[in-house]
Amino acid sequence: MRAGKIIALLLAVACLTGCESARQVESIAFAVVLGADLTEDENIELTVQIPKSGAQSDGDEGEGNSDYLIASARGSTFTDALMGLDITVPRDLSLTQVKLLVVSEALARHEKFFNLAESLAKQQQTCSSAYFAVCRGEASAIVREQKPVIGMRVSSGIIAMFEHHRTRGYITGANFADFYYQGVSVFSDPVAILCAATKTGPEEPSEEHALDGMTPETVAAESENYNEYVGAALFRDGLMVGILDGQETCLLNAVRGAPVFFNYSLEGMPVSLQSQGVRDMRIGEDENGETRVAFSLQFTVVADLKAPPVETLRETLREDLLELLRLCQRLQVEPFGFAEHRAADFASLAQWQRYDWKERFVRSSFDVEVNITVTDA
Amino acid sequence: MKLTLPLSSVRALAIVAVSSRFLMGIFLDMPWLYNAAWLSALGATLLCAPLGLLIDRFARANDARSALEALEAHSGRLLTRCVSMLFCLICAYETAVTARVLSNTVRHVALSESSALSLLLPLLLAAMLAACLNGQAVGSAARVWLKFVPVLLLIVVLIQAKSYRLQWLFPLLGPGLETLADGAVGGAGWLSLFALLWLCAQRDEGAPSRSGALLPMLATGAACALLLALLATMTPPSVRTDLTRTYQLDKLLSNGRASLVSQLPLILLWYNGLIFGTTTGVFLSAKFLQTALPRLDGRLAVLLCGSMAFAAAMLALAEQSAAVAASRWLFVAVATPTLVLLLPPLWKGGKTACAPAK
Repeated sequence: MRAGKIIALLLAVACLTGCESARQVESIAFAVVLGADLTEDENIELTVQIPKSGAQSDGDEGEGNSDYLIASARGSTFTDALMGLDITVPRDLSLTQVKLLVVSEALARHEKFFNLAESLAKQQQTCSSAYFAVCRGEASAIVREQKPVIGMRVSSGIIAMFEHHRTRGYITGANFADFYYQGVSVFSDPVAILCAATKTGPEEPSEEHALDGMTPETVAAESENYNEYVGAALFRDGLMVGILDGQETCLLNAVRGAPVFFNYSLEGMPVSLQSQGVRDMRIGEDENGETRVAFSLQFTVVADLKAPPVETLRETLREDLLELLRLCQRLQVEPFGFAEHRAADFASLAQWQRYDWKERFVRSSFDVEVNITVTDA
Repeated sequence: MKLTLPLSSVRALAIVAVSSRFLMGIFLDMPWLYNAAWLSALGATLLCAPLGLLIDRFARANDARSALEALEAHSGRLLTRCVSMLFCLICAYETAVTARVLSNTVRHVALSESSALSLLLPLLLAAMLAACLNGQAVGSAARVWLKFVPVLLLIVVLIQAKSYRLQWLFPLLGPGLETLADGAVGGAGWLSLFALLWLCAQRDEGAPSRSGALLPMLATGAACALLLALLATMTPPSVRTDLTRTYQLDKLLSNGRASLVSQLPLILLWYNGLIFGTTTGVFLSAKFLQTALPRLDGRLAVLLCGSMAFAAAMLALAEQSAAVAASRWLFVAVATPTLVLLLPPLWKGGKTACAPAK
């Protein structure tokens, strides 16, 4: 009997699927950046950047001499293009280690975008933890130019870069899972990071100060890094409908409750602001049935060499914030998280959907208060 | 070989095996409960409470080694054996569903190109081998595993804490009361497997003096409701996405919003929970088969029940739609015979059961 058990056990071990059909690391090509473009014939073009295992280039980044393989493929759908990539990449292509997903603005505004997002979300081996960005221009250029410029691997470099950009408020810090789940939710609309590949920025900076009016292609700077990430792309019903510049993105982050530390310009005077969240949010209908959104936004301002005039700063910030809210109303996009707050007053999802928040938001009025605390640190 | 399940091991085994089936059923197979699945879990717990209470009252009123033996004495062999056969089929089916979900997980996570046969067969062979070692071995393994579960859960919760958003629990009633009630009935079916484990349990020397079913059942239901509430705070409710097991598995295991570090403890919890679920299902099914056919050898009973579960798991019978349809009747199928068998002796004898039938 004991021998029978041992034989049965050995047979079971031999059948273990992990031993027989597992994919070994050497046989897999792990993409770290994935880009998607819309071709002239309205097809999808996918571009991936894959680290070459064991590669160590000698600085000559000529054709075929890089540490990274760039591959592109086209197809009428995401799945077709992915199949093309799977054929051209000489290994089993895996998207599980993708750190950055980039979609061109043209594709993000096209009806094919939502299908692409759904296909990405339902991949067998998902890449939903990757940062998600929309680029002005071609996504393939971003993929090609995403390089380990200051000595890190691309995958680590992307994480470090976005962490830095997120805490400074330049971007929203959304990964694909955030974007997708928010996009198919019954609440607020999703946003994505805005980026562009620019070899040279404008000769002179714009007349605006700090982050005001700044988009990735208008960053007046040059370096070995061509890819700039600043601003946000706004989406409604699965399509991109507009963008926010750097300053608007900082304010959006502040309203969403993200603790960001950013530079603000008060009539040319630089001010360092830190958002401290939102208080006293009240959303409801007044006696005329009009929806009113009221909240108080908290900031800390660091008085470096000179304390800024708080009253003026408060009023200017309030005006900028109201301008941002009106812009989103015009675009019929609500990326602030107001919906989540309002939905708590409803018993069921059906009641909430009947309330039609998005329609009401467009006609809402705002009562915004900005509170500023001056500190020396 | 006589299959036995010591009372000292049944609590750990029930908590480990039933909680995974309960969570799996409500989160994976009923995604239309959205952010309010935890309320259905609480409802299921309340629905099951009378069943747990009844089992406890019956066990206290009888001196027999196991509730099944006492039932045979009170209600007659034929009725008890028929009910045992029904419970055997139920357990085999639940084993098939659990094994199918485990193979879905493996396929989704790593082995997308493997056949269902190569994923299911080793798993069920391992479960059958473990079940052949008898209830003491399976129960003791569950006791060891149960010591690790809270630690792993705590690690997951701490890692994911930054990603939880309490606003996503609202609107509180999610899809509405009717759907939640439907979910509660389905959930009660899975939680009622607790009762079946206690029916099979036999008193032993190591059993604690207070070893009732009700308290662990309520605690498991409440803990699962809490976990479902936490899961609901990981993604906003959506009414547009497709509702497959794979999609839900992705939300559960990789999600993308939470740190990837939490995946290892999550995967450990998920796989081990399902492996215990499958093993317990095979064992329980075999135990009921042996009760229905007392001359049947335990090993043969395990082989028969494992094969039955394997066949069901290979067919569409164990897929999401069938499992959900079956769940609507599972609670009735477990609770009705249990009530029919257990209530009359209690009524006749008050707290002390009536004299055995001759």
